[in-house]
Amino acid sequence: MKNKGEILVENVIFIILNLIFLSILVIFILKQSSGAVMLEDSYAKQIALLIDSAKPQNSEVVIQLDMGDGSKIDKTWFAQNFNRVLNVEGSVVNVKLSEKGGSSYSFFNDVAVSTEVGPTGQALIIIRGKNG
Amino acid sequence: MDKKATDKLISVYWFAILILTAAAIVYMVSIFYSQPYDIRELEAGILANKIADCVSQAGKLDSNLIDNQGKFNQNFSDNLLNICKINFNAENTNNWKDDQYYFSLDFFKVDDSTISIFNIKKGNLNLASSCEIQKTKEYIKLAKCVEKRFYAVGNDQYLIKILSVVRKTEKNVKQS
Repeated sequence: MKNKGEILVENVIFIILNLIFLSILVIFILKQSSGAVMLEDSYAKQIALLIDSAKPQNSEVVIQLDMGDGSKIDKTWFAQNFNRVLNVEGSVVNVKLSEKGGSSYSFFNDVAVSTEVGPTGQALIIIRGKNG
Repeated sequence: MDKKATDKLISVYWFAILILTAAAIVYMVSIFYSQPYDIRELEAGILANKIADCVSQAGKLDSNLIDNQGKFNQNFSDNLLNICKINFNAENTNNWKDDQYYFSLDFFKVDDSTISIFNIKKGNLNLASSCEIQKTKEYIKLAKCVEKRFYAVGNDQYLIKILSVVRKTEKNVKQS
């Protein structure tokens, strides 16, 4: 017959193993949802939609976007290359959160777009009408 | 079977269940997150709204759309993309050749919404067939269509139908 001490140790090990298992699962799910590919795709599409919806007329539209989650993917790379993270060439939004990655998405709104990203991941998207 | 053997059996069984559960969760999460966000319907909706704002402001048809003789202005139609500030250039990827968008704009008399009295079509005309096919069932790999209707007043009252279509399948649907 097991003594009380033995039962306690077994239960504690059992609970710890379960907690480890659950933690691994949660970490896996969080990692998947904040992966570089996922974030690059989502930022590029979000920004393309924001540009498409903008109506600058004769003034300019300034949009602030928090790309803080993207800056956590590869902190060293981001700190050195934050000015390369977001750029708009012609009618295509390019987002890059690591050296190897990158995602692009086009927009149909015929406007002039300039972008600026700070070291903390705060992005400014400035949209102007092409005649204004 | 003694108590110790039963305990061991239960613990092995428990870990087998855990591994099975973990495998199922990993599989489902991987499947879910490997799908790209599909924003084509939103894009098509924004495109339709942009065209609507361009041809009609506060319920009135744009004054340039109808000429002095009360006829629809062909020049407006020819330059619609420039006038509405729409640019159909897409990124150079997946053999796209600026052929990922299409829209058609139909004007009807209010009392007869079957015969279009004026029509403007821009973009890749081949995409229009995707809308016909998807009238009964949606196919994820075909282009997404959005149709909007509204009334506007010019020299007469008109019902305006806008059909906007966005393809960009490779960027919005997982390629198998």
